[in-house]
Amino acid sequence: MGAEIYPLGDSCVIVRFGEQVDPQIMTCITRFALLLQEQPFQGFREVVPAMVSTAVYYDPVEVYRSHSHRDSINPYDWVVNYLRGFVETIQRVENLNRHYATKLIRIPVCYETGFGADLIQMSKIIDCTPDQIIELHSSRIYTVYMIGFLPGFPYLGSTHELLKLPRKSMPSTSVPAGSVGIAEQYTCIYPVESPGGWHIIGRTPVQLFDALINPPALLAMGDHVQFYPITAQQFHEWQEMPQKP
Amino acid sequence: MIEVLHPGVLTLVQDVGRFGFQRFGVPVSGVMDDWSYRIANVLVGNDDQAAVLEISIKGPILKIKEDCIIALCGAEMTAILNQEEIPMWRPVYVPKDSVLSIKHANRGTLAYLAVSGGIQVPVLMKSSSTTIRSGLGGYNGRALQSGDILRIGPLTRLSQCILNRSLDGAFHTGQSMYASWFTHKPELPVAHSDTVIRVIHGREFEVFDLNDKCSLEGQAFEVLPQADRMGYRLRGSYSLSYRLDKPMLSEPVTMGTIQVPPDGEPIVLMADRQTTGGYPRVAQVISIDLPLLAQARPGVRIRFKTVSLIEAQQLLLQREKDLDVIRTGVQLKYLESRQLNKKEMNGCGTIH
Repeated sequence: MGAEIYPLGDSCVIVRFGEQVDPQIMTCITRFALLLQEQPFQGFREVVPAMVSTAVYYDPVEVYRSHSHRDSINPYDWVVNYLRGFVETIQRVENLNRHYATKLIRIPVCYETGFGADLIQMSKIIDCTPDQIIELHSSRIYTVYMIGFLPGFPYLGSTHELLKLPRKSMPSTSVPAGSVGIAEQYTCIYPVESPGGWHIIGRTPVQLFDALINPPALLAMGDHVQFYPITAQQFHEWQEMPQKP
Repeated sequence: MIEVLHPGVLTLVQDVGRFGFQRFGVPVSGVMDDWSYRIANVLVGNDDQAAVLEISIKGPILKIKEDCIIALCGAEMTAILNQEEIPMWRPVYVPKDSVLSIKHANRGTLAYLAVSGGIQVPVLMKSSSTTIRSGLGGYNGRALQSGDILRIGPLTRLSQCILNRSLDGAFHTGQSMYASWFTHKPELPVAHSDTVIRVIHGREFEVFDLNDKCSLEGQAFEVLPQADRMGYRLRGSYSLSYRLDKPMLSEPVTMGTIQVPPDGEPIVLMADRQTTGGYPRVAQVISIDLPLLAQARPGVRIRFKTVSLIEAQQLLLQREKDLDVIRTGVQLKYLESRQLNKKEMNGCGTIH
């Protein structure tokens, strides 16, 4: 699988692995990011995966002073050459089977009245009962496609065909922290209170982001998530005495 | 220690930004005008990445409770130290228990107050920068308020030398004491003429329906009042329309990425931007012009000009050399001569 490499301005390069999200592309992106973090170059700032591509942020001055001035090429070309090497490496057979840490996290969700403001409305739009929505939502294992929008906010995919619908035309001004939403082919969790356009069907007591721990986000790209229903009482108990999911 | 008597419109603790955590959805944040920020730190002898106060529109009133050196760089702001006006763009000696009052910006919109030793806040995810939208970092994750107490960090050897030399008479003396020299001030955007901002075309440039008039370079864009640290919204005479075959997936973005939502009014993403975006990226402001754009207040007109990536990087390299010269100049002036080595004795061109 080839990769397209192009600039995002003078201090960032994008490595694009495909056009549509799929497990193979996700594997490439995750391995690429891991490899780069293990073998960074002088001037490397960070690597950030997004759905089908990865951004590599760098300092062109440091790249020039440490590397490219010797080869008389500009910083961008030097970085591209360096990254091409990685793209080739992750595709070689011995690396394809290399273990990298992903985890399955089971996340409790309360779908009861008062916890999912849009569940009833959504059941009218897509012609499923609320119980069917809950069953379809909690029965599959999702993959984290990306963390973005807010610290710790996961885009999980993909949802069952029957659950696909566009975002709300009128976003809510305030969605409670822990809210679990559905839109397009994804499901998400709001780590904090926020305005939001996703259809909220439930709420989790689990904390998705803690700035004081390393890593600060519970979920990372490539991880697997399964939701399971809990009662309102269990939700409140969890809040009183938080558990590790 | 510094006590905030009045916070001003929006005063934030910032440093160069929070790198390494965007993959967890944590914005980079940090200073909007990195040139003024870096010069301010150089002038007081701080390390390159020391935290400063980023001051927007109208500045704070501060009680500075210890002897120190300060420098104010960026937008043109009147600064009064103990009832006397002090100049910008140079080191200024501040005696303990002084009151510093920073007024409205006359030109530009952001100024940086560096204090010798740097502003000291708990380091969060390797940075002192503030992301106000998420309440992360800086001073309790928020803008300064009256009554806040800011700590100052330990002085570098250079800062200590500047402080000692200022007291020994190296500075102009009068009511206030400040260096008799200053660094070259960069241009600031003005209301009556267009500010040229250089860009590189984005990957999605081709999906835009552009012609001679309705184009990125053929029209001026006005900075709208909604402009803030997340992004500067712009409006041109002609909106930039486009057609997508299928909805865009979330894509990486960076500071200076010009995104265009369906209404055709471009938004230039700034320091507190989200880590990914879902709108077509028509172009990318080059890093060296980000400080100039950051200083553009609502009402300022922007004209974009396309340049090559090579040129954009060469400009950055040249700018870094200019900063090296200023830094060396400060060291030459204030470090005791036995602390200099031969390399540092050459040239200090841009000190006036």
